[in-house]
Amino acid sequence: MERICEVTDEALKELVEAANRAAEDDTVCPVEVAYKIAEKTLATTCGKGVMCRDGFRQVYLITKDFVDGKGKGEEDIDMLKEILGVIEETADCDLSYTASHTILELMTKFSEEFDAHVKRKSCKKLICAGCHTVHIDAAKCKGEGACIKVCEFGAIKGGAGMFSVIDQNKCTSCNKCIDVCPNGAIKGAGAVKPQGPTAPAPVGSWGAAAAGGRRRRG
Amino acid sequence: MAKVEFFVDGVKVEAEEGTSILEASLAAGIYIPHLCSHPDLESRGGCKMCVVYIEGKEGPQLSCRTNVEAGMKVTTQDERLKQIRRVSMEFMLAGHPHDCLSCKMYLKCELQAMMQYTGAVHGRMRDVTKTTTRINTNNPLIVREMERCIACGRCIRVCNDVRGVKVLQLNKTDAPTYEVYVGTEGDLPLKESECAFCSACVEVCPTGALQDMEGVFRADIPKQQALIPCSVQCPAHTDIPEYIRLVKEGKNAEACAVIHEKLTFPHSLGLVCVRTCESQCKRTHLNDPLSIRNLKRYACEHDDEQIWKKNLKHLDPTGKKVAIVGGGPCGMTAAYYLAKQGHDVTVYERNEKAGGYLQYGIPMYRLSREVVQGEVQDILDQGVNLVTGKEITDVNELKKDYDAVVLTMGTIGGKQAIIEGREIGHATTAVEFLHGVSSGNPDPNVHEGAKIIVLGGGNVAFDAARTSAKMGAKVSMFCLEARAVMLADDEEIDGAIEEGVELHDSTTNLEILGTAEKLEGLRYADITGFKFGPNGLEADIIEGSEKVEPGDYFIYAMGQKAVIPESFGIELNKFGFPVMKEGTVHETVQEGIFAAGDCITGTKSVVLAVAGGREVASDVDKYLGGDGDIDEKLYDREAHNPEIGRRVGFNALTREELTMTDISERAHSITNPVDQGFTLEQSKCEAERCLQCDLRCDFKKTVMWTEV
Repeated sequence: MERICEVTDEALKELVEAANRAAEDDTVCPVEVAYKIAEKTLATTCGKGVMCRDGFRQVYLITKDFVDGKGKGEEDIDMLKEILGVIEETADCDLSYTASHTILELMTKFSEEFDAHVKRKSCKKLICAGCHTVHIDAAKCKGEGACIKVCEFGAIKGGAGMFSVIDQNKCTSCNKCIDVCPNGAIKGAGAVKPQGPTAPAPVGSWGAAAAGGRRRRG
Repeated sequence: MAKVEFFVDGVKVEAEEGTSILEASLAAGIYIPHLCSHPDLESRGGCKMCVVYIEGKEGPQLSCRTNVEAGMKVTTQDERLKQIRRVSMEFMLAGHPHDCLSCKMYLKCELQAMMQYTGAVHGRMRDVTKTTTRINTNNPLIVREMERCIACGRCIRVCNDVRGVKVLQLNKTDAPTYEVYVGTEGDLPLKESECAFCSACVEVCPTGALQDMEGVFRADIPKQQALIPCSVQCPAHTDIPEYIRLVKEGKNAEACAVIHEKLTFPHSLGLVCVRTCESQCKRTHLNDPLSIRNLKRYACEHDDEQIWKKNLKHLDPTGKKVAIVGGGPCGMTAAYYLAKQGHDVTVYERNEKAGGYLQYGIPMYRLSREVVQGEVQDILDQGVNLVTGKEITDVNELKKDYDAVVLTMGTIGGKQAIIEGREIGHATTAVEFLHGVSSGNPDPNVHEGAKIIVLGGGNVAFDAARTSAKMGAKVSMFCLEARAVMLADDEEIDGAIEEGVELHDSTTNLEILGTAEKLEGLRYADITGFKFGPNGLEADIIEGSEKVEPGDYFIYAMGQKAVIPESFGIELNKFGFPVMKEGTVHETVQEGIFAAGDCITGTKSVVLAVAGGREVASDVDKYLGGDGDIDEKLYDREAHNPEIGRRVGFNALTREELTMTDISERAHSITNPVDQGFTLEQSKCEAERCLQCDLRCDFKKTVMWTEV
């Protein structure tokens, strides 16, 4: 279809590159990239055409549900494909064309990943907030508290000389604590969660015996 | 322009080169869905409703943006096209309220029609809650229910591309909502955004997002009429926006031609009209109404070329004879149009001159008699015979010599005050008093130093009071209404007070005191309010406020009545008005005898009398075998320029007022005009204020699928 708008796909460049390496790069989740493309498209669109303005609003809302672990199953996947197909075919500008085309490709190439997010709320790469959990290995934690400082949600408890513990009810799985931990003690988890203490205790008091224990989520 | 043939779903369609597939198909009666397109706006192709396939082109194409080519084969119906339209509709509906029934545009909404056409439903998509709908919702004239907006952009295009006012634009919120919405720069209210309130945005909005404020336009008449409230309200339906525009352009003769299309006595009306038009002017909701009457006056005062006379319609003689009884504005108007329809018309006027209340009622300081007689002459110039000084006493006798008779005798009798003691005399009515002054025989009781008491608070009461004061009398007026709600125009009240009239508003008259030999005065009391109950006036008298106003003579200005004696031979109802044939407005129960103006309506206004004269002329013409079509175009209108342009401060332009004549020049003269007409500059400033409501009627109508 005729490109009515001159808006380019320049803004999507980095995200498209990320999408292209999603298979190899462990820091890239194809579902999250899809969500970020949708968000970037909304941020960039001039808003004159229905496909960009309202179509990508839907793509954004649906993919946001995916990364938040709120996808509604097969029907959402089908709806998203239908929507993207229409946008791709009638796109007004390079922006919405590239965005819809890239997401559709991701959905084809990584259909299992999308399925896992939507049906099992599971992100293989432990990136999507609603599809993984974050845990502190009490055996490795030295109680330095960097994680406590960085957490915006007050989800990490600890103290001087104590190992830290994440309150799973407050944690949003933003992964910021993982990046700041100097000891590599914090990790994400998918369906299988590590067993750990529920309250802080003196560093070193969580022994090797406990560290080995793992259980499958019921 | 060259024609091309192309095919829509196999049907051969002929179209002008350069038209879009959408336009050409709609013109040929083939419906292609569309929503953001509007016949008066450049197509932007944003809504995707109009997608079609074109043989030889890959994928769906926008029929609104693709011009027809010879031999082109277009497919409008196909499963994929249907799906695209439906999905696009559902995108738009996701942020739109679900309940159509509560919307004022219900059944008039293009979005609703398109929803039915596409089979789109709420619910397949995620609901979108907009965060911007409460922005800029408190504006005069234009109601913005932005939760209904689908951002089709028609309003923005019309505001920018057609009107050139450039107020509306697409705005966008920051992260995390990134919401696109129709707004103004800086989200300023419309008035501060230099909106010209042309309401073109409302006109082109396909949904209920932009609406006219309730009460601005009447809902009980066809929309194209209702959109021009001043013209609707004018009893003669003068094309007011058109002549105001012409005055703005300095084309006074052309403006007068437009005025003459509907009005006789336009110059007189420019001086004295009750201007009901102004009461409905759309600008009243912004600040003050246009000064329509004064613009008309300006045009008439500067009509040097008189081009209106060039194109007057004048039909061949019919051989029919019509007599008109009463040469006031109604009778003369009827005579004018009947003469132009080819009938032989004679007006019988009891006074020396024609003009009725214009000649013998309204004071000369408001309406010069040269103006009146000039306009009477314009009517006589159409071949009307005028017999003056002749009182018709028997209508049936008159009817013998004519095919039709029109009674337009007005309401010539002044009503007497209903007040104790009035039998002692020392009184006249305002009608009689003003008639005497106008005829050069003023009532000798009103003279230098006399103490005159005027009862009444309407414009006629002020005419009598001001005239008396100008003649040197000491005048006091008494009326029931409080100053703020008096029936008379403010300028009359202000002018009278300046000229020394003593006003006693919120008073009730109790008794006339004195003897047949000598009047003492008026006993009256102050009141807090009043109403008319089943037993007449009920005034709330302030206890202890009774006073006596000494006086030498009374003028009653309590209204007028028709005076038709029984011997006149016309059947009268109990109120003294002629009995009309059922189902007619102007035909009496007597064959061939018509009536119009104040003598059937009671005292109204000059402009209503003129409108009545036009109506009765049409009725009589039909009765005499004509088609009753008295309409004429005296000015060949140029196409309106839809561009208003952006003008800083436009919506706040204030009303121009007339310059009052210096008090020393008007206080003691009954002929010196009380005010001066607009200057050239004033006329332009005032005309510039017009919101040009009529431009909205120029928009083409969009076509809904239900209408093809």
